[in-house]
Amino acid sequence: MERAKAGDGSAFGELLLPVIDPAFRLAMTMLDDRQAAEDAVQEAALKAWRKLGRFRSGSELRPWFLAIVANECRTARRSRWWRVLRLPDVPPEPSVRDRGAEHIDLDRALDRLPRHHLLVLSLYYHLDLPIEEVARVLRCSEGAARQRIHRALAALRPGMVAEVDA
Amino acid sequence: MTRDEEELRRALEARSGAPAPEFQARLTAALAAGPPASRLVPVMALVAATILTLATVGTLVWAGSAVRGVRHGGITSSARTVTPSPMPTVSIGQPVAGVLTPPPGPTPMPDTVTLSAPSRDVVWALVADMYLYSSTDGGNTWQQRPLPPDPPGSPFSDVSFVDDQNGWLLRGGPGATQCSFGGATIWHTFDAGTTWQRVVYVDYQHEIAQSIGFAQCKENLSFIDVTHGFVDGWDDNGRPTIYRTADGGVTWSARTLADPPGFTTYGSGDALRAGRVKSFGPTLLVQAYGMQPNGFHGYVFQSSDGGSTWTYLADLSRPLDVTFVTATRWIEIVGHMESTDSGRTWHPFTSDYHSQAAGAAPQVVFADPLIGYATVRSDIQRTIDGGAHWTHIRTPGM
Repeated sequence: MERAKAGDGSAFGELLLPVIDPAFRLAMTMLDDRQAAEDAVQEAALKAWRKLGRFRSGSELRPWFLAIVANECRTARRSRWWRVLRLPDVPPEPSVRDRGAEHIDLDRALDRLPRHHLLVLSLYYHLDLPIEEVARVLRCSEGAARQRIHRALAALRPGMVAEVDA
Repeated sequence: MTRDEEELRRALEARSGAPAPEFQARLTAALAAGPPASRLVPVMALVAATILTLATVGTLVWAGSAVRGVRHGGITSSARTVTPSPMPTVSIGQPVAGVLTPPPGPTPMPDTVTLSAPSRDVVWALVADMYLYSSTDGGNTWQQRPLPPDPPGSPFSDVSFVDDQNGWLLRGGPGATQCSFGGATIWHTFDAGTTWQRVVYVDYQHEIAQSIGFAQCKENLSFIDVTHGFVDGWDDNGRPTIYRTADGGVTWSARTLADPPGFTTYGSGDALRAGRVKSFGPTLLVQAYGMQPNGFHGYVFQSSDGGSTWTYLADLSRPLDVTFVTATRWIEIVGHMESTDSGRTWHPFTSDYHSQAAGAAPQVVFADPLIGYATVRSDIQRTIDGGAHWTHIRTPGM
C-alpha cells in the first residue's frame, strides 16, 4: 500500500488485482456491455489511484473500489447520449441469453430496472457480498442496505419471495 | 435463499462475465505506465489566474460588453435564491482569465473526444472532458486553449463553438438519482478561451428566474450563432426539456418535447433524452431517444420558429442514431445507411468508415454538407465528401 501511495504503478496493480474480477462483474451487470464495463473499470482504477492518498490504512479495499466502480457505471449511464446509445445491430451474447422462455421476463425486468436497484441486487446476489460490505459500498447503514434490497426486489418483481440476510 | 432469489442470482450471472485476459493486461500496462496526473489545476496556475483576473477584470468587463454587445446581467438583478448561501467564487458575468493546463501525457484509453465543427476549417475538440483544443486547418494541427478556472479540474459535459473565437462550455451535474435534478454551469468565451464569463450557474440553492432550471440533468449544448443556443434537460421519469437562449446564454426559456407517436413516457427509465440541436437555416432538428418495453426508440423533432415549438418529424427506430448532414440528408454512419428525404426512407450508402467502438455510437459532426468529423474512441476521422471516405487526422492531446 505504501509503495502504491508513493506512485508505484506495479504495486497498485498488485493491490487491485484481487478486486478486478468482482469489479468487472459488477460493471457488466450494471452496463450490460463488455466494452463499456472495461472502460468503467479502467477509469475507476485510474481514479482510485488518484484518490489512494485518501484511502485509510486498515480499511478494506474491495468495498472502497467497488463504490468507485459503481459511481463510474452511474456516470457512464448518464454520460453523453451518443456514447450510451446502443446500436441496433449489436446482438446479445447468445451463450448467456439463450436460457429459455421462463427467464426472459426476468431478463427484461433487469434490463428495465433503475440502476440504483440493479447495483444493490448485483452486490448482494451476484457478488455475494455480506450485508455489512454492501452497506459500505452504498455508504449507508446495514438496515438501510437491507431496505434497499427489499425495495429493489419489489421494483424488479412485485411479490418476489426473498430472505434477505435471514 | 428462496427459489425466486436463486432465479435472480442466475439472471444476474447471465448478464455478467469474467474480465478478458487482454483487458487485465491492458489495465496492468496502463497502471504501470506511470502515476496518473491529478486533474487538479496546479496551485500556482490558479494563483496566477486569480491575480491576472483581478488585474484585468475592469478591462475585460468593458471588452465583453463593448465587443459583443450582449449584456450579461448580474445575479442580483434577477436572482430568486431559495436559501441565502455563499455564491460561487466567480460570479455570473464576471470575466476571468482562462487557465491552460497541459495534459500529463498521452490521454489513456478510454477517454473521449467531444467535437464542435463550426465551419469547414475550424474544429474544436474537448479531450477527456478536460482539455480544450482548436484547429483552424481542419484538424491537421491543434492548439490547446485555456479553460475556465472555477472549479479547477472538473470535467465538462459539452462544448459548442460558432467560430474560432466564440464558444460555450457546459458542465452538468452532479445529478440526483434518476436525474430528477442536476446542476449546470455554462461558460462563454469570445476570445478562444483566453477569458471566460460564466453565464449560467444553477445548483440546489441557486436557481435563477429566466435561466436553466435545477430539475433534470443537462448534458448537451449547442449554439447555432453568437446569440442563439440550446441545452437539453432529461431525467428517467419525465419528458425532455429543450432550453433556448437568444442572448448568448444570459436568459433561457424551456420547452418540453411531447411524446412522439408510439412512445409513452412511463418513468423509471422509459423516457426520452434529447441530443444536440442542429440548425439548417430556419430549420432546427434534434434527435431524442428512449426506452420502451419493446426496446430503444429514436425520433427526430423539428422547429421552424427558433425552438419556440417542437414537432415530431420522423421515427428513427431503425436506424436508431443518425447524423444530420443537411436538413434532408441524414446518415447512420456505422450501419452505412442514408436518407435523403428527412428520414422517410432509408437506403445503404457506400462509406469506408469503420467503427471500432464495439456497440457504442461514435460522435459525428458535419461543418457543412461535405466536411465532417467522426470519433472512433479516442481517434478522429475526417471526411471531405459527405461521409463516403474518411481519413484519420492527428488526435489532439495524443
